[in-house]
Amino acid sequence: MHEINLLPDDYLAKVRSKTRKVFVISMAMVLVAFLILLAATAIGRYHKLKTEIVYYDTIYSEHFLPLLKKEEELLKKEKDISDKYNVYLELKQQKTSMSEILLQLAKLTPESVRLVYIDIRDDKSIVVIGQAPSDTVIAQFMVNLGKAGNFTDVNLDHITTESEQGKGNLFTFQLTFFLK
Amino acid sequence: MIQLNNREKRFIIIGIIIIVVSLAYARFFYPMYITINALVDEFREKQTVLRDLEDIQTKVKRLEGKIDNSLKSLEEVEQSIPYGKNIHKLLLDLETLLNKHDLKQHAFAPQDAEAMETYYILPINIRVSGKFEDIIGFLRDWENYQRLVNITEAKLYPDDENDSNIVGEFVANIYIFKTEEGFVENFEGFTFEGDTGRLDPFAPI
Repeated sequence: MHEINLLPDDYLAKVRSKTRKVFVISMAMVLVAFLILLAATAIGRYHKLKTEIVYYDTIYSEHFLPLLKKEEELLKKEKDISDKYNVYLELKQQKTSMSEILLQLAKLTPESVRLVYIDIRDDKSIVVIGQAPSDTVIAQFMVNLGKAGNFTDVNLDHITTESEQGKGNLFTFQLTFFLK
Repeated sequence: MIQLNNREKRFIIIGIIIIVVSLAYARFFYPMYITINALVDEFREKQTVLRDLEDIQTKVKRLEGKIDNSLKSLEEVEQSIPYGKNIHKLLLDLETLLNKHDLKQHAFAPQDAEAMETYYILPINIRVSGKFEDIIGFLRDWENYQRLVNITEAKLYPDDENDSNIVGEFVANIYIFKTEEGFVENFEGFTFEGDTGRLDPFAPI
């Protein structure tokens, strides 16, 4: 069976045109609604981001910056303390124990030797002038110094035999050596 | 009035839609997209601030603890190497040491301070006389003095005035930390009771 449309053609065309208009208007409204929604979302996102950035800016200026400043100050203070402590350790290490050197010199001096002059200089050189009854004792003194371990380059500068009044035949000698 | 056919009407409508969408894109959506992207980047960057904040807080706490511990060492260091010459204190302590070891002081002469990078070296020449063992005792005490003292030179020879005594000449270096204010002397805590001054300072003692 065939279905026959008996409505006139112009009427059918009018109905079709009306449907199309409704469709076009609906599509336009959907498009406009979509655009408005998109715009609203974008604006919303923009405002949210702005608010959060303001929040982070507040944290940055109120907490982060003072902490950074404090950290910088503390680091500076730490460096200052550490520098001072290093200087102290360095100077302490350079310290010469003069009492120990003199005490050791006294212990190494043979019993029959009398020292009349000790000169310990900043360059670690030591000059000793003394009196001894014989060359052997002077040699013994030199051996004692050489064996001690703290002294090096023990040199005999001279021995003089000029006897002083009331002191018998004493040899006056001068030794030069260095502190290790 | 111009009569438009359906095709022309459709063309105009589509054209208007394209123009409106293009304008919206060019004037609003694209700039907004750029702005939002920039904000997102900024936001991400600033988010790291929070993480860094925690790191810095931990670091600052650790540093504070470390500095608290170091302050004790600093006290020791500042006592050994003060910020001023404080010769007055040195004189008082030296006199006590000399009396303790029964030594006689002949000279005490601070020299010019030598400037190093962070500190000064102040050499002091001292001449004393007494028994050898007393001089050794004095030197030992002085080497262990609260202030860092480095005796760099020594000369010992018999005392012409007293044959049983010897004379000791020493150069002792003391150290002073540099400050922006120069030498910072500490005169606090020194009181000399009973001394009210003299009417005539030139009158014989």
